[in-house]
Amino acid sequence: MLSEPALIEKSKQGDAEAFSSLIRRYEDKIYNLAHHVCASAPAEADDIYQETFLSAYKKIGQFRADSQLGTWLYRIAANLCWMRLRKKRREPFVPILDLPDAGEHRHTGAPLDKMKSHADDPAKLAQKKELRQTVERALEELPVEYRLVAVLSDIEGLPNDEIARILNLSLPAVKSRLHRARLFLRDRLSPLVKGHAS
Amino acid sequence: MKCRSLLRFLSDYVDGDLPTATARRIGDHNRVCPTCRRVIQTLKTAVLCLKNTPRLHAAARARRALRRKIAALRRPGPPRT
Repeated sequence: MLSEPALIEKSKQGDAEAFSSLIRRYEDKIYNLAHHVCASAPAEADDIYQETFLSAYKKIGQFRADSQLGTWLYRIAANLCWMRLRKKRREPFVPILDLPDAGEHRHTGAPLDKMKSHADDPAKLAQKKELRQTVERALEELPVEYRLVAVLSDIEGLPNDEIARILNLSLPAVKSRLHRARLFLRDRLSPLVKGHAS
Repeated sequence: MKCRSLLRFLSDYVDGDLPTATARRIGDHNRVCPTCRRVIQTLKTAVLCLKNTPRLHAAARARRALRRKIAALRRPGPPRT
């Protein structure tokens, strides 16, 4: 099996089979990013997935060997997401940067470790599903620039410095967006956790 | 540490990215503050929900369409010797 640098070199020489091997390595990552950032428009995810690799195939000659191919592909996909979704922005985003009101003092929803320990309990599984669906819906409410950071960090599992390179942001800017996005998701989840209080 | 001063550290705290001394101060505060304990638990739950999101695969139809489009763009390779 050829190494990634060898596949890139062959792709630069027009070898479509080598490029197909590169697609196989990265297509699930790119599709997941597109799907979760464009969750409200699933057809967009298919388009972005295809456009990312078509654009990469056309531009592979410009790819610099000192970069990571995954970072470069994520950057193309993120730009495509941004271009498509920026026009669909809804109401201004108001990040939640305050503590909850006093009502939240009283509830005792299932903490993280407790959820894990009841993994086989149908009621707990249903609760976990509901929590996940709520977070997914809240993710859709975030402006695309915050959603990209949240998806790259917490779904794709990328480190903040790589996210900064992908989105051409400073590290503090990435951390700030991630912080605000997470607090927004937490705020949306809070009533549900409260509702599951035992 | 007061509740409001804890807010800006929350994301780094759940990631374990804070200096030990700061993390310890937050931990100490959480032991006596149920509100902040609840906030952090809910934040951890939100992050965990994202981390546990099932991995998806592009539909076979989209994969085939991509391969067709790449083939249509196929450039001539270097001359064989």
